[in-house]
Amino acid sequence: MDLQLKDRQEGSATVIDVGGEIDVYTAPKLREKIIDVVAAGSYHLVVDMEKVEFLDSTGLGVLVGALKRVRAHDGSLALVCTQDRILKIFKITGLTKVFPIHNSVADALADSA
Amino acid sequence: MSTAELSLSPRPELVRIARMMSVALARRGGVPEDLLPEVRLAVGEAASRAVLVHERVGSDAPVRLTFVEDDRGYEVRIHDDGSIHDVPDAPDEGLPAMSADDAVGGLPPELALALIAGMADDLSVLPDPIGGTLVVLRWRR
Repeated sequence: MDLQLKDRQEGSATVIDVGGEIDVYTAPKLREKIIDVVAAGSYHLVVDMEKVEFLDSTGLGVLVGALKRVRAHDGSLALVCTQDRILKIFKITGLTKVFPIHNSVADALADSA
Repeated sequence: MSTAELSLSPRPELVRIARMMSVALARRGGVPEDLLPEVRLAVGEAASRAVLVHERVGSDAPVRLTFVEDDRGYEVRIHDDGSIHDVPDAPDEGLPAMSADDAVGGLPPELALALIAGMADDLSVLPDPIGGTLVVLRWRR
């Protein structure tokens, strides 16, 4: 399945809903979406990955790049993910220490408030 | 023993085919269902890496995957035309600079291989006798 991207404003944060497969082919679309959101002045991002079916290292690279972008504006990036197979990828790469990972969008928003 | 081969033009949109084939053959070869997501990720990573290596060295030749199932387990060999020292470009322009950043100080320089190593029982990266590099992944029976 291809990548689906939607974004919405929740208070001072922008929630980006990601669905489908994030791989070497689709990751550039996610990167463009994040660049657009940051360029529009949103620096507090919550990326909801609950509907992500596949994530590889190119996707991780885009998320790390996004973190760098928002931090340049004193912003933040939190992830929402409860899927074991996706969480395992963050654990193996040590990125659980880099990204706050929440069980729900509500938790992520409460934490960033 | 049974084998299958897949030859893909080095284009990112085709990597998905390698993932799908790796899972179909692993399932047929008796790899347990709960390991199939790991096969899918590891082979996808290796195929993406090969595509990016071809991009880096300017090769239009196909990336070749060989799937072998025998009584020892399931093995996938991914051939690329790079030398063993060719590392694909980082997946995001932020990554190399970020490695010096305290926040991601532990990020492996070759994220794809780190992930593959975490998913497969064995991982070897070898010079291919016919030229190029072979990445070999194994799941033992």
